[in-house]
Amino acid sequence: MLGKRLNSKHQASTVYQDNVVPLFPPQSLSGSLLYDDQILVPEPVGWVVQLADRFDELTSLRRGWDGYAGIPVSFSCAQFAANLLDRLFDAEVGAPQLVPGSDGTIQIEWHENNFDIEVDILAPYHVVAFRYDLLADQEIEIELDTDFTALAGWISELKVDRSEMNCSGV
Amino acid sequence: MALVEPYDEKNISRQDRIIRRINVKEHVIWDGNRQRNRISSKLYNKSSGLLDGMSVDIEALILADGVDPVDHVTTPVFTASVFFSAGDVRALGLIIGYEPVADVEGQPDNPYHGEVWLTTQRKSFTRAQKKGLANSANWYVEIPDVDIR
Repeated sequence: MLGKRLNSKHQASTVYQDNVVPLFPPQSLSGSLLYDDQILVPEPVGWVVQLADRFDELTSLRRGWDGYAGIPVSFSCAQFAANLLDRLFDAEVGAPQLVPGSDGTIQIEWHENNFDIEVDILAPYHVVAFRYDLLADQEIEIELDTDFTALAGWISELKVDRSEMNCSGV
Repeated sequence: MALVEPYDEKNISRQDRIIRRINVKEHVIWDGNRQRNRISSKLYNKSSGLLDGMSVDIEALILADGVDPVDHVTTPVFTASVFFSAGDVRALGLIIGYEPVADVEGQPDNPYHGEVWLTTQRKSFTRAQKKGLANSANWYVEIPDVDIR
């Protein structure tokens, strides 16, 4: 269900890409019904596809799912999380886990390569990201709204070979 | 929806045990670093609404009513839970109060329900508060082969 909605959102987001062909190309003005260019809608890829069922589950949680007054993950948080994951996708990094909050928020988590990364989507454009480096015993927390460059850097580091650091105990 | 204004209940003493239920399917994650299942930090999350806190069960109220607290917090499907002492919770700058639930749509009645509130209008607990709750949490009803933190 949400998978379809997410697909729609994914499609909608391509409207802002440069390679989208205008709906009415110039030749249509001259009365031609033939179009030389194809209008292609890309299939969603990567983590969002892998997590589509999980997004569906989380947005369909029943009220009280946490034993108290927990509400399902809101569509706005789920869609923002899906869009963010779409932008951050790296084929060399595994899909994250998704954990609901009692308040309808959603947390994205990776626990690999001696990093714990937790991205708490409190609302669209209101994100708190946390990383714990197990090898360096170092914690970082950042608040993000529209610029996720730092988070993309963290994701990229999930695929870095850290075995030397691990051996030397750095 | 908040039923009462946030306040710190004087009758909740520092050694009283504050219980937080766990939905095993939603709150347990796989930690590839430790090669273990464990509880997500997202367990320590307040409910929606600026005046809402994190829902809990107050053990002393359950015991005072002659009810088995394990039965109460595992009924009907919430098969696991953790607890903190009220003193540990307050040491994190949080406050605890009673908020009995009765006749609220979509929520089972719970006369032993309480809330852990922030004293500010932040949307979520701080990292230090979440970490403090996780570090002071003990199993109330344990999940086999799952680490508490």
